[in-house]
Amino acid sequence: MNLPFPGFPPMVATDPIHQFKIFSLLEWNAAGYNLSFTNSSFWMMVSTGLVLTILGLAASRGGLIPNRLQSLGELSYGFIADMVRSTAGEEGLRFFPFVFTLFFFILGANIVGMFPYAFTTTSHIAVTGALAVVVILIVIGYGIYKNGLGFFGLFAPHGVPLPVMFFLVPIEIISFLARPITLGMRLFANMLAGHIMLKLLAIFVVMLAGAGLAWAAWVPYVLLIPITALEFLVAFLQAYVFALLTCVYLKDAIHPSH
Amino acid sequence: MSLLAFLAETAAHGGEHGEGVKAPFPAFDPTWFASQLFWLAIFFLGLYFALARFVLPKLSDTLEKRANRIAADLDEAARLNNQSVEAQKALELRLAQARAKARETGDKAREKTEAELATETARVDADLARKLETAEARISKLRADAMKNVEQIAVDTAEAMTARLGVKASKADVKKAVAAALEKRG
Repeated sequence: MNLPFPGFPPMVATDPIHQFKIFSLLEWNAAGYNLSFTNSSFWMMVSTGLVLTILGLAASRGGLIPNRLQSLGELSYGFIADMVRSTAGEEGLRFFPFVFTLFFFILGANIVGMFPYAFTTTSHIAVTGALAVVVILIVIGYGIYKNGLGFFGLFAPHGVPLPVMFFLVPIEIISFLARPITLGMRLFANMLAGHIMLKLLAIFVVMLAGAGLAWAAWVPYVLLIPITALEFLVAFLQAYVFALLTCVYLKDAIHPSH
Repeated sequence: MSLLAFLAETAAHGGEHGEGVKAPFPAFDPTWFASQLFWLAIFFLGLYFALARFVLPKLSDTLEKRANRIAADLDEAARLNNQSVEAQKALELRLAQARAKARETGDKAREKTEAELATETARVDADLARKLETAEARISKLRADAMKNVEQIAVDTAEAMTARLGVKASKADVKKAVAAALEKRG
């Protein structure tokens, strides 16, 4: 047995961090940047391709009486549209395609990442942070385009006495600037922690069984089942939270006054 | 963050056994940032345009079509319902008319029958009265005839009696006497 005891080379499967390693599949350097097609790129292609295939098939039928797949597409449409409408208002619906894409991009990546040997693209801060930054840039851009300088009223709540303003405005600015960080970090940390936890439990099973403690290996093995279910829930929930917070921030861009 | 840093640390140590190189925690490894951002942009924008251009319009189109169809069907149902209510009303009206007409016809028939009955009764009454009259006339004639016969019988009887008694009396006297007696009795 290839066990991670001192002196033995570690088994790849017993390293909980190994699953997050990126390696190049197709080397490509362009303009001094390493733009290689990696395992991350590959699984991003798989997840977006899957999302597009399922939703595309669901949409293409267009029947008056929907079948299951079509219902799935229509329910998704209604779900995101209701979320955007109830959070950001009717005007927020112009961002509906963006929020819809965001939700399904993240959901697809999270769910695909749940399968063994797959790579979870959303477990990397570069991806989630970039998505969060895009959201905040859209919020700032549309906020200024829509409200001009009135957008900065977001930092100065109405009806607050001037002395309090001196404290409040910096706090508001900091809380606004914290948004992309928390938005990106939340998704990244959830996916990372969840996958590490699953991997650790799985490694525990292997190690205990390998050490001849098969009876004890049952404990983490049984524990893995509800935690896997929980991780599927987290996969959905984090996509939902990301999309919902995007809607909340977009509402600030549309109606900056507190 | 401290937890992540700890994880990164342990992972870097645990994962890189034997190599002796302290590799950064993969999730923070800047080696791949450019590649990640580039492919994220490609796939995210690709998904965005595919969804926004083809999938979502088709879905909303289907939903709208269905909503329109349902609204149209509801309108049609309401129209048919109104139609049936109107038909019901017309039916009730016709029924009421028919009932009134039936009653009228019945009334008329009864009136006619009553009138006929009255005339018939009157005719029969008149007939009876006429018959009664003639009968009475016949009776009175018969009585008168009978009375005449009575007189004759009385005269004959009186003649016979006078003859038996030996009283001489002319026929005219007897007749006169009988007449007087009858007259007296009234």
